[in-house]
Amino acid sequence: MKFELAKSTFIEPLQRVVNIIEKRQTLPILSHVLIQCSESGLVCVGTDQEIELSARISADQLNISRVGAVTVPGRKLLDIVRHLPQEARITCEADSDRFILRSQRFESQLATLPANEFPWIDLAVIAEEGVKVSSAGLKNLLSRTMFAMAQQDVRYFFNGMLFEFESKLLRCVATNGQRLAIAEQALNEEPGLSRPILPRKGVVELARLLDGAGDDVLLQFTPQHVQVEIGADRFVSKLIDAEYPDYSKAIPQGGDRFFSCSRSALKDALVRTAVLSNEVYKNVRLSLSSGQLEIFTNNPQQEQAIEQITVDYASEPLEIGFNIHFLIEALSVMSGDEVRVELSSPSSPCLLRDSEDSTAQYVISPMVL
Amino acid sequence: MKFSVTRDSILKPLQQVGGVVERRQTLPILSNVLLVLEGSKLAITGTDLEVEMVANVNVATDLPGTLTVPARKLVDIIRELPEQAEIDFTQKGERLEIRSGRFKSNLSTLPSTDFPAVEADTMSAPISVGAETLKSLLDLTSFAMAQQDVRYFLNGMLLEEVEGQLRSVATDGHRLAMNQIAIEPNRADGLGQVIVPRKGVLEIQRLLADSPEVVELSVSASHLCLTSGPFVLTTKLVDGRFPDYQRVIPKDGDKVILADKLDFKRALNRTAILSNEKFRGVRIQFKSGLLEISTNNPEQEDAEESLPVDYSGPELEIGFNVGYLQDVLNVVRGSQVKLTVNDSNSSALIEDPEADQALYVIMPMKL
Repeated sequence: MKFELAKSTFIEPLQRVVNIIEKRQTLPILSHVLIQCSESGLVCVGTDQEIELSARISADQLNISRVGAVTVPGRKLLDIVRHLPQEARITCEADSDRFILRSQRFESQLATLPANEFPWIDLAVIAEEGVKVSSAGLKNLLSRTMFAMAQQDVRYFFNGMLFEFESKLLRCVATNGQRLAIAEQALNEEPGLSRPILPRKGVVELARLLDGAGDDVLLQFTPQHVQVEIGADRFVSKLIDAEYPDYSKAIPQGGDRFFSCSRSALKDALVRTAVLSNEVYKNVRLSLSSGQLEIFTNNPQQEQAIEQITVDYASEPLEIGFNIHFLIEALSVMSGDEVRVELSSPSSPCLLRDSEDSTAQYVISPMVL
Repeated sequence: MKFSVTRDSILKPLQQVGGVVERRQTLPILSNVLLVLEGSKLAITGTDLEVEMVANVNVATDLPGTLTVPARKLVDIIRELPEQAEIDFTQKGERLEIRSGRFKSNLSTLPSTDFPAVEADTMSAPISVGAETLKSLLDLTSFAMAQQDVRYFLNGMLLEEVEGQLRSVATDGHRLAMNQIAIEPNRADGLGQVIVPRKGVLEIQRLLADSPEVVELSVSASHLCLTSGPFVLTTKLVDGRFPDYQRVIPKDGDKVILADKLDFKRALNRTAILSNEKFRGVRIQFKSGLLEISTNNPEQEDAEESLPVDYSGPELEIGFNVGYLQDVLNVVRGSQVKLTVNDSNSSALIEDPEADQALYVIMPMKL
């Protein structure tokens, strides 16, 4: 294998692939990236066996002298490329057990492992056509909901995000059992799909890959995997093999007490009062009375904070407790100026809605104070 | 105690003082700041028993007083209030009430009599130093201080007044950095020779990053004190004898290389990636007009790069810890560096040919 290309062509694909690699791993080859050079161009692949990313550089962006494939330590390769001058041109050459990288007066030799030992994720044949989603739309869906996923929960399906396809609609749902986030995005097609659950790491990496992506992305599913085509990259993630619980029961219907207020005023007041909330339970007490919301926190050191904000509440007075961070996190991912809060009783969950996005819903369970 | 102040006039002083307060400490009161209100002056003090910082803020006083409150919570609350917010502080029994607009909170307090004060001793007459100059004195050398070395006097920086110059020296036993600046001559008492502990040096650098043009420096037998605008920083001194650093500075080097600093630094950054992760060795070969840099590691990986330099002496090979070279090249300000060596077994001297004050010594490494 031998090819020559500009640093500026190599660095970004390489960076995305190395991002996928875990810092510590059990198998040495998992710290390597696979470099495949063929007539059609260069493919760099990284995996942690749960997710995998292949970044492609087309043949017209490099000079190929000899095709071939090899694996090399990913982070070291990236570090070297990163430290070369901006305008540098790089020559890479590999035979059975050596990988040599040259650039001007610099030369390095990296350890290799055989390409045929690279642990590709075993992707079943993709049967369906797949679904096209705008990358900005998908990014928006993920960033509005991913904060609500659980972390290392024994109910392992909570450590992921439900992708629910309905007629011309993609709905993303995330919950940790105490709070839930839902957002929707319209689709141009009507895919007949099941309800795949993407694992937490897959969701986080996908959101990151969508950051700079333009145009549409193509989502394709097998029973165990999802494959996403993002520009010249192909991202694969395992799916969580489970049935996602019926979340619709968790969404409160007909909350008869409600108010709207400025989202930033509510969020800022919560952030201030959170300083003196109980460090273990993170609880906050909301007291609603006509036209006013009082936010109250205290802690075992007998410290307390109170703030009142003006709201358009007009029902009976109500007192209810929440985890203050669940409120702050939901308010932080919204984009509208106003938030609408629906409640029914001190023991029922509340529903938050963003004035900018009618499809987004945030449900938070109350806390007994 | 009762006073009012705007958020913006108290936030920065509080953050600066809060920076001294350690996250974890043994005594609860060390996580608190001391507030002393007299006249229209509020003095905010934080300490970790080694370094103490006092900030003086002008406030509208209703009732003088003194108490201590949790530093981090106080900073967090003030920071989250709206800009330009008017804040009222009132002591209510054992609580400090903070009010602003429709926000109200009560913080726990501890009696100010329990707050550990720096023992007062006679300070020398203060000398005025340009903040920028003093900062460069420390910035060019602080990286070479030891960390948690049993030779406790190396976990700090030597400051010494020598013939109208203030000199800083830091070493961890493997490398040494030295710099000096001119100071006010003709003073009654000199600063002498003091060792400022590591945390004191880092806090002084932090304070100087945001200082007025001139600051004042004074010392006593056990403390060093820096006054910068409304801030007064006092640090304990390390009670020990600093090694005779003059002996360490090589004087007989006869092989001199002049290299472009950026090229040298970047070549080291690239080759360092494939050096042994534990020993970080790099081999440097002096050749006519050329510097060859090479590394390898136990995984049989290697890297090399050659650099055109100004050299005409005999060939020589010498090994270094690449991290020590990188640290020096990161602080050198000029566009060139001068590397002077004698043989493969003696220390190398690195200087900035454009600013001849700072010098660096690095011990060689057997490869």
